[in-house]
Amino acid sequence: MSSLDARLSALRGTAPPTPHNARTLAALNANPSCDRRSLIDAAGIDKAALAAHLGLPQPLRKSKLALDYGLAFEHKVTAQAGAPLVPLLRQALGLTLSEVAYEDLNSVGSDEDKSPLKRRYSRTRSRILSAAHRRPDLHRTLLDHPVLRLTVAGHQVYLEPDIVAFQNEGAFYIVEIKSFPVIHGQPDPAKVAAALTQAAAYVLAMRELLADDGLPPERVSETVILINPRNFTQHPTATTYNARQQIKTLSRHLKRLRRLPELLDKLPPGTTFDLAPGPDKNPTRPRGELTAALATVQASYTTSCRHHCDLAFHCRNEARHQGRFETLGTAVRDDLAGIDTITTALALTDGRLHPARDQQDITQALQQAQRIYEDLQTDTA
Amino acid sequence: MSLLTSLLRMRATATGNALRASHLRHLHLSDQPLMLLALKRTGPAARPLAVMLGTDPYRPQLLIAPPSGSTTPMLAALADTVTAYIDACQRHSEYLPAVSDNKPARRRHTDAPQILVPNPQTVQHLKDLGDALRFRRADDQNSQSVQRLGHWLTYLTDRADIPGSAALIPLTSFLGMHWVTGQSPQEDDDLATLLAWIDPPRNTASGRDAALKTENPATHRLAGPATDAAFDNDHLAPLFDAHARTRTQGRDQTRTLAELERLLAAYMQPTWDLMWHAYALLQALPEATGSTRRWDHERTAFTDECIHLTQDGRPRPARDQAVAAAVRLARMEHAAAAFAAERAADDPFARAELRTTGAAFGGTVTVIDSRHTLRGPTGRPQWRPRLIVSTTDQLRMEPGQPLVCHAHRKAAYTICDITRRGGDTLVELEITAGMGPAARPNHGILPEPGAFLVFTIAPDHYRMPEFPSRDETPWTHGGPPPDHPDHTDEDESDESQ
Repeated sequence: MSSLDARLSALRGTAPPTPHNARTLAALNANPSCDRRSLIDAAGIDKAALAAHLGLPQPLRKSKLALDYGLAFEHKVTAQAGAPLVPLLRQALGLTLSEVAYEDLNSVGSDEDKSPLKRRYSRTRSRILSAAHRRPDLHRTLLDHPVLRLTVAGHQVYLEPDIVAFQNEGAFYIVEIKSFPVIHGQPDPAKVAAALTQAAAYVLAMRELLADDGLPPERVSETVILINPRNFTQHPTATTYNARQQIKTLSRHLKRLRRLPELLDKLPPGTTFDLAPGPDKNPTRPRGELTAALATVQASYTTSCRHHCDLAFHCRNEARHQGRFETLGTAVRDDLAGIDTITTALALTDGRLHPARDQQDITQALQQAQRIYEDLQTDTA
Repeated sequence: MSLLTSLLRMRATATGNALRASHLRHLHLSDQPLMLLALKRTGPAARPLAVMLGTDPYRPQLLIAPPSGSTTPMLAALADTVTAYIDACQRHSEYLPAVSDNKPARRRHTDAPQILVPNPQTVQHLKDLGDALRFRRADDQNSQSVQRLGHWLTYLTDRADIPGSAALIPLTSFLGMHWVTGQSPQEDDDLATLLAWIDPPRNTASGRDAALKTENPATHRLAGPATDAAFDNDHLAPLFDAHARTRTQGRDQTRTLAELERLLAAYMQPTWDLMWHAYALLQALPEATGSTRRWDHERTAFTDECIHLTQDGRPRPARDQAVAAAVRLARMEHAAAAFAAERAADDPFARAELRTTGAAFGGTVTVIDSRHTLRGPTGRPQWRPRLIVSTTDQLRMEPGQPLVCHAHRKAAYTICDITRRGGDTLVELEITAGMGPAARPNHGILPEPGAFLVFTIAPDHYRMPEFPSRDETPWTHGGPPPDHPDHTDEDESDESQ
């Protein structure tokens, strides 16, 4: 075990690690400057458990109904060896041949197997490599539930894309089955963006796999196919997207994760986010201690954090205590660029603080706004 | 958002209490709005779960969609209530005499429907529902009324996109026009916390404390259309499972359905009460004068839609063709500009915001030159009185800028000259309209010396651009070949969810 691993597992404490997945990697893209999140994810700490122990709302809790619905749609699409899927992909990718081999890798490994992911990964790997090495025009394969591996900050992270399609011109495509609808040809753009960021993680993992075997990584296409329900039905429809932007950003952020040792160095000795579960598995760590430990790592709160981070409410409360503009949304933050906190801004407005040179314009504008507001109260305007 | 609202947000954060923004209500508020709280099923695109609606706060109607099977009976019941409400608005009409050749005499309904929903997400849900329903085949009585409901939902959600329209209003946005809270605009989208900031219960120290209390995961619930994951997992999913079991065993389902109704009624009641609370707060505000004109316009649009329904009745296409989309966009832009101009004329707060963005300035009239005249093109003298206004506002305008003033609505002004003196700016203005001819001057247009006036940038004169007719539209933009079938999904809008 490397010393980095040891230090990270000391942060995590006794709980088993929660590894990165496509979702957490996508969250990395959404707020790359958040050191707190980088560190907690790298250490494999269960953020939901932290939030629950702190008594915070959990905006990311998954609804069983949503999961069931997603699963039902996925089953519908991949039923009968991918029969409904093949015509969709043929259309989306221009597959010309009618025969497509389909393989479900979900069934590999028995239930007692301690590391089914590892087994499924090696199986996926051999399938992909054999397909890639052989004459490309003979093998058109759909791999259902493959498992890929991506190196994140020196750790192996297993990812599970829905489907990898292998097309006859020698290119691999990531196919994601998502249960949000495409209504009259228009899906929810935010959901598409999130799906593409997840797909970008799969593309990177797949490229890593090919590159390890000396194959050109470009054989994994940056074109990603999303399969969604069409309109108000459960009939699938396929849409191709170019995920180049997402792939680029994600790989940049993954490179940034190498600065983990620096972040760890900044922590006071003995820092841990351990929940110290008692004999009944309930956390016994005093909340005050935990918040103090969290405060040792810088967070970068934004109002959209609640869409991808369990700790969003904790960071918000902290940001509120610090009087940070981020709690009031991006518009306010942009309006008051150059000033650090709400207290400072109000002190400048009321003339209790002398503006620095680069704050003079904004101070003047604030004071004018205040004067106009006072006019309003006295009814002269 | 202007710097003024940013400043107010900071003040609200510092004090912990929401601040009043505009004191005037710019949207007409009906005495009998149809309050509508909708929940959708987690997962499918537009499968309703429940709708609570009505015009009486104490007697809401609750409609429940069964966990599995057809939603048509529930939607038909919803259609009946909504259509009955809309029909009631058509009962009386007024006669409008011809104005010009373009505007012949016609009748207009004296009322129009007004539906209040908790948040913008519900508007989106209703839009999806309208999309799903309006192409349904109308085979029997029930599906006919469901199709009609789809039509009305599309009309109403379409109106909701138009600035200043009061046909379908999300309450959080409406409240946001009048109060500024110390939380982010995203958080303001939650009706419960927004109301906690605005009108905290008596036993809480501040709006901020009340909002924090509201966020308690044990009691907080979303105001629709989505349901909380916790509610889904802990309450709905077990009940749905129980329902599925009784269904497969062929047993009576009334008990599980009654239980579902009880559960949802209890879940929705607090939000229903909050919606009426919001209504009461908004109704207490004085209405701006411009809102009457906008409501007149709303009634015209409603009357037109009623005529369209009886004479043509075809549903709006799933996606507008190029010309229709351009017309819609132009209408929206026009409505936005008109709404902004009327708000500036009516509302001191709107003017204050414009002053902080530089689109207006306020100052004291120091000099009035009431004798100033110009020679017109024909050589006749034209009376063009001038004034000098002294302002401390940061002026971001150039000479030649046309202006209007709320105190003299008929007048128009142009900036002639700007001189800066110390912290003050002297703006010389010429009155270019509303002063009457030189022979019969309208002296009422002249302000009192020393009066404080706010001048705002005059709205651009708007002319609806000319769009090609369908025959002249190239086929690339949806023109002929004629009768190109719309891609409706009639054959697919089954109940297979």
